[in-house]
Amino acid sequence: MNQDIEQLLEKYYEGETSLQEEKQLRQFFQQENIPQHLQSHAAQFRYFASARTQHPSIAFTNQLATKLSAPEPGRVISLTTWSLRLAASVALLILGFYAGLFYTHWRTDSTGG
Amino acid sequence: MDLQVFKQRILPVQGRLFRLAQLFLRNREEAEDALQDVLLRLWTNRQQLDAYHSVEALAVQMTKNLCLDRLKAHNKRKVADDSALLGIATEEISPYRRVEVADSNELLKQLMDELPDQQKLVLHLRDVEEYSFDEIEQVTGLSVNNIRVILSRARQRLRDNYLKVNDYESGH
Repeated sequence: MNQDIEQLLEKYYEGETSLQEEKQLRQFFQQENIPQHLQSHAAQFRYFASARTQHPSIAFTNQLATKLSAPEPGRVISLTTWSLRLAASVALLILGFYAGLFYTHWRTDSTGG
Repeated sequence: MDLQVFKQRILPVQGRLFRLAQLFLRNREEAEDALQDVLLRLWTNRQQLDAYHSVEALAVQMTKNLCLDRLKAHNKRKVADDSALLGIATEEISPYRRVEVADSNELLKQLMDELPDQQKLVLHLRDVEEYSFDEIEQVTGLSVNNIRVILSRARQRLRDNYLKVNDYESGH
C-alpha cells in the first residue's frame, strides 16, 4: 500500500496522475495514521480538502436570490409608460406651437400699433 | 434563459466561483462581492449564454479576470498592508508557535497565494475542484501538455515552500 502511494506521489508531482489516482491519494492522506516518512505530504492534501468545503454564506445566497427575482429597471418601461411619454411630448409640441404663434401675434400687434 | 433555467445551470457552480474568488482575493466579503458581480453580469447577459459551449467555464473565466482586475486596482494598498503585517508577524511569533501555525491550513493558504497566478489557478482547479484536463483547457485556453507542466511546477513549488518553512531535512 505505502509503496503504491509513494509511486503515486511521484506521478502526482510530475502532473501525471489521473483524477482517479488523485482520489486515492486524497483518501490515503485523510486517514489518521500516516507513516512518518509520508507525513510531510499530508498538509497540502488536508488544505485542499478544507478549501473544498468553503461556500458563500446563506445570507449572501438569499440576498442574491432577491436581486435576481427583482424586475430590472431597464425593462420596467411598459407600453403604457411609452404611450404616456409620447402623449406628453405631443402635448408639449402643440403647446410650444401655440405659444410661438401667440408671441408673434403679440409682437406684430405691439410694434404695428 | 429564464430565471428557472438560470438557477438550475448557474447557481450550482456558485460555490466553485466563490472558492476561486477567495483564492485570489483571500477575503470572504470581497469574494462574495466579486461572486455577486459575476452572477449579476451573467444574469444580465442571459440571452447570449446559450451560445457558449460551457457556461461554467465562462463563469470561471469571468471570475478569475474580475479578481485579477481588482487585485491590480488595489495592488499598491495590498502590498503595503502585507509587508506591515509580515513585519509584525515574524517578530512576534515564537519558534514554537511558528511550527504550530506552519502545520495549519493558514500557512498553505499563504503559500498558495505566493504562487504565480497561472500556477495558482491550475493547481486550484485540479486539486480543489477536481477538474479534468479538458475542463482546465476550456477555462485557461492552455494545451493539455502545458497544463501538466504548470501543474507539476505548482505542486512541487508548493511542497518545496512548505518544507522550507517547516525546516524539514532535505530529502526524507
